[in-house]
Amino acid sequence: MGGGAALWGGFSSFFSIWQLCIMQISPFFIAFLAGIYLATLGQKEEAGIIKWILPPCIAYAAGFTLFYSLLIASGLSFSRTLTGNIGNLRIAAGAVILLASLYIFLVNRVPALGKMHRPPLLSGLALLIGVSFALMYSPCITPMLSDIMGLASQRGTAVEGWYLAFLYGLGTTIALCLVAVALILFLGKSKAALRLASIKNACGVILLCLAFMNLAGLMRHYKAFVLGFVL
Amino acid sequence: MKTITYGFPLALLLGSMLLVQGCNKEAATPITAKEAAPDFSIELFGGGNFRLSDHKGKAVVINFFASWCVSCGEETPIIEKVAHQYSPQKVAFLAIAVDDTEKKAKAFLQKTGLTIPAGLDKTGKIKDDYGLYGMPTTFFISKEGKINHLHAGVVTEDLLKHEIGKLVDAH
Repeated sequence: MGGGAALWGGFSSFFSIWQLCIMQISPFFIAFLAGIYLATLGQKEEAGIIKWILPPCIAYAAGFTLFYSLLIASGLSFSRTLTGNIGNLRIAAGAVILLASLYIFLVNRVPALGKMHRPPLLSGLALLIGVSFALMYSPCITPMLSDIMGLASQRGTAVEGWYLAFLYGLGTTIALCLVAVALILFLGKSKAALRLASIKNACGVILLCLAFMNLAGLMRHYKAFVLGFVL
Repeated sequence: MKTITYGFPLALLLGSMLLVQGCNKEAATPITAKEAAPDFSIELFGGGNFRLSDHKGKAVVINFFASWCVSCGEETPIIEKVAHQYSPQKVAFLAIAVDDTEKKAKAFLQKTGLTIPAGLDKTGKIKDDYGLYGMPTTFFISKEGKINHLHAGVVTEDLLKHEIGKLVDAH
């Protein structure tokens, strides 16, 4: 299997039946990206998508794909350190998501946060969100991912497996970012623009719910009922 | 500012590649296969408990699934069929629902017709102990209690029989 095939496999899985499993993270990432962008619209005159959305998308992709691929590559010693501490890491992930939700609520209310609201800060936050989402994610194993995991779990082929898992995760993330940007553009041009502050707060609530579920160990209820209902 | 905005995530990507290359050199440490399977006890839906250490001397096949997992339903008829081809005295089969609720997991088993002993990993401890990332995943445990093989993804009948054959034939 080549890198291009893995990238395409991840990208196309987003638009297939496998999206049901990706729904563990996709609505929450869209809420995060929409939340930070709508906060930008509320206080900055120059709120171009390329300046304010592209860097957080790249940072999210870096954080998510790195940790996603490392967790898949069980043949690597570093991966085993991660899985050995996954319980504590998931709690840290919940704390990060909580901070992100509070940021979205408060950025237009606290002047100091408003001054810090710049693309580098948002990229840093997106990077941590990407890592957090990779830690709380339980992927459904597609036939292609099964082949990749077979390579990634063996000592001799672990790096090749990691590389393919990285590209597979990157493909999924690119698709997710494209959909999120399209939704934000639609939101900005629709009549919903009149209620941007309410939508921004709703995004914060969605992330707050995710943080609570993650910290309280209730994610399995979301997965069982919401994903199970759709399936 | 642009350098900081784009440079940081890109630097992280490049750094991660170097990190993984470095990890590869240390990868002489044992991997999951051939390690002792972590012991656990799980309450079964049909009543009673399954403790892994009670099954030493038998081959054990553990299938991790979730009711919401898209591909898990594909393999249950195969597992059900193969499970009936081996004596319970020689091979113990167990299905463990993870990231799931009892009600949903039971409904899934009923819908897919899987009748092997099954239970719910209520706290996620078994999942974490086995380093599980993704579903479905099946572990093949030897008579000595060591992980002989793990398969991430949907199992086929041939794969199940091949791996169980290696466990049963081993002395």
